[in-house]
Amino acid sequence: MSRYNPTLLTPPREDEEVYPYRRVWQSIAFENTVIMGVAVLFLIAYDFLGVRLPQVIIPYVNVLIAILPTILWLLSSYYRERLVTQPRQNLLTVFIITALAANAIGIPVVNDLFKVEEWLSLESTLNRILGYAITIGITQEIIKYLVLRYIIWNQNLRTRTDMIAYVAASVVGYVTVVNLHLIADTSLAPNIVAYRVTFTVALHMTASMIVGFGLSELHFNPRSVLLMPFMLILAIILIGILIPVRSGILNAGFVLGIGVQNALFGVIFTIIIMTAPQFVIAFLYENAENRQRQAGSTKG
Amino acid sequence: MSIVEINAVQELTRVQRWSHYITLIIALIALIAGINARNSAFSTNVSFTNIQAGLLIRYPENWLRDENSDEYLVRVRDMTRVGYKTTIQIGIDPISENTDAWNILLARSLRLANLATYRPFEIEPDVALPNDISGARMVYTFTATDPNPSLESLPTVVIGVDVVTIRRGQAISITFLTDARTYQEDIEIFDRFLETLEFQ
Amino acid sequence: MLSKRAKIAKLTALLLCVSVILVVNMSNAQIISEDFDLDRIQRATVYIIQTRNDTDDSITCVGSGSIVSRDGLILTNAHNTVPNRNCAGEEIIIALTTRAGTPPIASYRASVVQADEGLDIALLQIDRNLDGRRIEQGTLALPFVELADSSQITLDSSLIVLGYPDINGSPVEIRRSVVNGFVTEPSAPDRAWIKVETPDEDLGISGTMTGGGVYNVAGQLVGIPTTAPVISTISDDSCVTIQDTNGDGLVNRTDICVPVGGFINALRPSNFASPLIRAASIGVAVEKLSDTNLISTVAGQPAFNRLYFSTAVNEGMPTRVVNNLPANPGSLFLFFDYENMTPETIYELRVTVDGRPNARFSLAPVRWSGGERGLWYIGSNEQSWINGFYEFTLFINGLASGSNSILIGGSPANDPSFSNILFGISDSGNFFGTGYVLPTGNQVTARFLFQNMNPDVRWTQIWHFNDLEISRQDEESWSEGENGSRSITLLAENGLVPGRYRLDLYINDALAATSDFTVAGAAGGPVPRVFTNIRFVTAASPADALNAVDLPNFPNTVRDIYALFDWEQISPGTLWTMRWLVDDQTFYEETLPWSNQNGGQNFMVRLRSAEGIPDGEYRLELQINSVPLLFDNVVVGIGQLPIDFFAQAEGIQLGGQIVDADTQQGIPGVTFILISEEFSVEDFTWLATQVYSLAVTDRNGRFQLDRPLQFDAPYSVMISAQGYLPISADGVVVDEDTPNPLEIQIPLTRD
Repeated sequence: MSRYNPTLLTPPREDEEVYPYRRVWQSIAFENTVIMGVAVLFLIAYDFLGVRLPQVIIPYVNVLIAILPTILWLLSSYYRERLVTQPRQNLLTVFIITALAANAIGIPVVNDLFKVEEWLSLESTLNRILGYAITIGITQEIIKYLVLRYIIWNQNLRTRTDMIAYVAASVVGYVTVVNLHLIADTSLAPNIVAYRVTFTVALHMTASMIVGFGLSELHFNPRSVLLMPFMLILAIILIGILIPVRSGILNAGFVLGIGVQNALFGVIFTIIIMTAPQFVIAFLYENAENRQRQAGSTKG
Repeated sequence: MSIVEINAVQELTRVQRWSHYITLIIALIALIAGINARNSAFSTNVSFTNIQAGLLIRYPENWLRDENSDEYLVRVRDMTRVGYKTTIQIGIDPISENTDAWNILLARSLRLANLATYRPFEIEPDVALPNDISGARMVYTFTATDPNPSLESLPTVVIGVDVVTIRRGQAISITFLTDARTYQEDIEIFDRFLETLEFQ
Repeated sequence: MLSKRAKIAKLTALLLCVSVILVVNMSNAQIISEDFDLDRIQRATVYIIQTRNDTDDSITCVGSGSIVSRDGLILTNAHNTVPNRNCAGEEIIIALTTRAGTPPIASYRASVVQADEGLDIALLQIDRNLDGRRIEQGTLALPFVELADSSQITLDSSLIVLGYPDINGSPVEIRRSVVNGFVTEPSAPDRAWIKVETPDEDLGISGTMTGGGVYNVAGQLVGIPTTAPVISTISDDSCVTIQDTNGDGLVNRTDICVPVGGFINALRPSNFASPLIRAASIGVAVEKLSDTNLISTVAGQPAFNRLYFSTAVNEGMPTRVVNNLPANPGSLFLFFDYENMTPETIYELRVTVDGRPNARFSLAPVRWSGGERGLWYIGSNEQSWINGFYEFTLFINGLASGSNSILIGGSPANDPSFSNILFGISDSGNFFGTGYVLPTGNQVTARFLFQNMNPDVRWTQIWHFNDLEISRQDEESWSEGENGSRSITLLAENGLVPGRYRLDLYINDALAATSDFTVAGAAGGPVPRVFTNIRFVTAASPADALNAVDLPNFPNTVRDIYALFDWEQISPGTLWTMRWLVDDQTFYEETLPWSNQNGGQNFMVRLRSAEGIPDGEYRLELQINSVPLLFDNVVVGIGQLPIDFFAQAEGIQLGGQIVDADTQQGIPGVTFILISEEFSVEDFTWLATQVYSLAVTDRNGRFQLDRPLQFDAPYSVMISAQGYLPISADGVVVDEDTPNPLEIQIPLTRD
């Protein structure tokens, strides 16, 4: 009995054979796409078609939207992590510690210490950018930085991509607490919750990936003492810019009639900041990885 | 069954250590700057001199200043506040040589009786106030509401503090009014106002 | 098969139907113009509750009213607001409609600031909160309505009546109505009442709508629906018992009822209210300090008598007495004497035509505006009178008090007649005089017209003084020809005593013409010298005023100006009129019987204003029988009222809601600032002088600016609230095409 044993025309995909880790970017892309999809769905349904959910189920829908990033992360990242041969350790720890820190430190500092609601909205544009950077921006990013730095940075990083996975865990932990505070403090319509959740995820993910890049470079290629501080500054300034810009886009302005918030532009803006910066950051990670790989092979 | 790969804890390089320190220092500086910005926003003042009362006052930025009333010489209100508009107002009353601050406060108290649910808490005839101001002080409460009957405005419980001091043959009354719920925080505004008050 | 004629008839009928439908639709469409701001008018219509006193809130009377100024001046009736026998309450509570279609909410207390009890008009000023706290002047910003010139209303005009239809908390009722006639009385020779009817007879204007507002299609107030129901002592449909007034734990017939009865078919024209509103606006009170009640002439029961008809009126006197008229006379007046009347007396005219009640010519029960005694008339010269047998019956306080009838129709009669009596003094063949006011002297001459006379006519002249016959002359024949004028003279050797006189002329024992005249004052000019020597002084007290110096000018800081004048030979009971004008606009007019001595000095009237009498040229006029006998002017300040005193608000009323853009829920306590047109947002430095108007949102985020936006003025807007992005805009302009009131919604965005 003979068997047909064809010759491979192309070599087998190297990755599939040799890559023992979960593919982080795929997970993040999937999670972001679902979150954006939900926002777009609500935009079409609520703002364009005028669909309204029954009042009685709105609180449950809001909770669902608020914890959607967590659910997606658990399914797409955490659960899948357990299926690979070399799973990343302490993902859940990072998630929980960040969430606890956000709830215990981050949100109280922003609301009660900085009291940004009482003064920052009324400042000039430049002051608001700086203000958000040195209040909300620094608070949330330093918390995530410290969690990552002290829990996983020294012993759990194997590749730069690992850093992305831990950044995502940290972001989801922080965002979940912010989202739950959002729906607990106000009675928002589900479309608004969806937009806010999407923006919060986008904002945190973008900023924290920059911080994460700094951390990974500091771990794998520690050539400059200033890179990490620079990345932190870059992240908080980005936060300082994105928050007022989004508000400015949404703000209806004054009309002698019924003013309407620009929800469409808000969602488009969120989608842009959820995708474009992350592509750039992904490129930076990839580039750094390749450079190190090349450097390693040259050495070898 | 998965393979768990654990890296050993590595000794930090000098770059890593200092980078971390610098990051922490920058974060600390940013947080301090944030607190400072907050304080600065809360304490940014506008100066204004009222010649009639011989006063230089400094009141928070973006408060609405009003001088068009028989009731007061000048009034400043925080119109950006959501809810009752925290108010500081200054008035003068003529006095005789036998009039003291307590007499003025008593007369004010009787006038204030027209306010809804007015209730005086305390009158201190001789108190030392910030900025070496001495005089009398009265604390009272009333409820304020929008008089427009077409609007469903809820009454706000207001706490008022009147400070009266005698200067150059006239009684200067400085009134502070704010929402009772935020009185403890807002009274700092009034303290700052008194501290920065200049008699000319 | 239908014949051709039948087809034409059918087509014609169809076209007629279509035409009728079109006309009806067009007339409906005409009722409300774009300017008619029904929401604002509804909110400006208030429910008025008169209660016993400030400690006893039992209701004594109710009615409706209209807010006519931003600061809470309310135009309404006097009969249910000014304390009187039927409505004895001392407190007035004002309930407002805050949302169209909802019951009124008791919100304020008010006081009467001006009133004419006879005309049944009162002006109330909201001056206290419901809990009795004083309201500071200038703090109210209420929706209000503007007054129209009621003389411009024509027959068949569409009007809209607003008021509260019952005592049970129903929302403001809107009744469409049509003008079907005008009633003239001595109080207004043009039109004392506007008669209206509702197209749907089942939806009449109920009694509790009295005092409300009647509006033209432009939304301006043209009249006050008025009725003063005759009070029943027991509870029935006209007077309902709703409260336990005797405290026996039961609400039953032993408790005092609240009068609500009657239906309204007459409006008091808004022009009657203008002087009162002017007086209230300038804040000047007129007080008669000299005792005007030394001699009271009211004694006995009120009564009407000597009812007769005339086709025309001259200076309040009938031109000719008629008993029947040819078809379509154009005008008809019922004259009658009255006595012992007071402003609280309620009179009513019921007219039947061929035995059937006719609402068009009847007048619902209203208050008496003519003083204690004299000659009165009621009628109309602006509507057609169909042929028929008319019976006029007058009622006083619900009881019939005289009637007369007249037949209208048939051909013109050429019966002998007298008409147009005028009085004067003959001197060397010249006849001169003022018509109906003559000086004391030894003779008075009456000149009258005659028509269709012949020598066989028997005629009589009878002269009366204060209802007593003093001279009578019967003539068995007529010697003056068929048509012309004739003078007759009354001689009095001892001189004519001051007082009220009357001449009756009879033809063949039937009253043909009659007229009254007043003798007062001394001869000495074109008019009798009754009132003399007006002086204007200011003083600390009336006693000081007697010796103060007469001044032609006063500063506007003066609070009291005393006007003093002397008088001579005026009989008690003589009706005289005091009128005050400012810048040629009447702000006070009162006709009352003279009740002082025959002659004297220093009759004192005080103009008083707590805030200082406003700049203006003030004039005091003294009249008898509408004849101006004396006047004088006094200047205060610059001699002209400030421009904005009677200014009506024009522009757009701006309101709306400020919402959280995320939650779409209103944000309470947010300030909406409208910056004056001289400043932009960039120029705004947070000074109150730069602010045109500001408002703070209520618990639903709703706000209302207290000043209307002027047309074509570029305002700026600033909305700045902690926690939200500020919103600002320059060049906010409204024009005549902008909806009024303008409702906007502003979403605020959180960062």
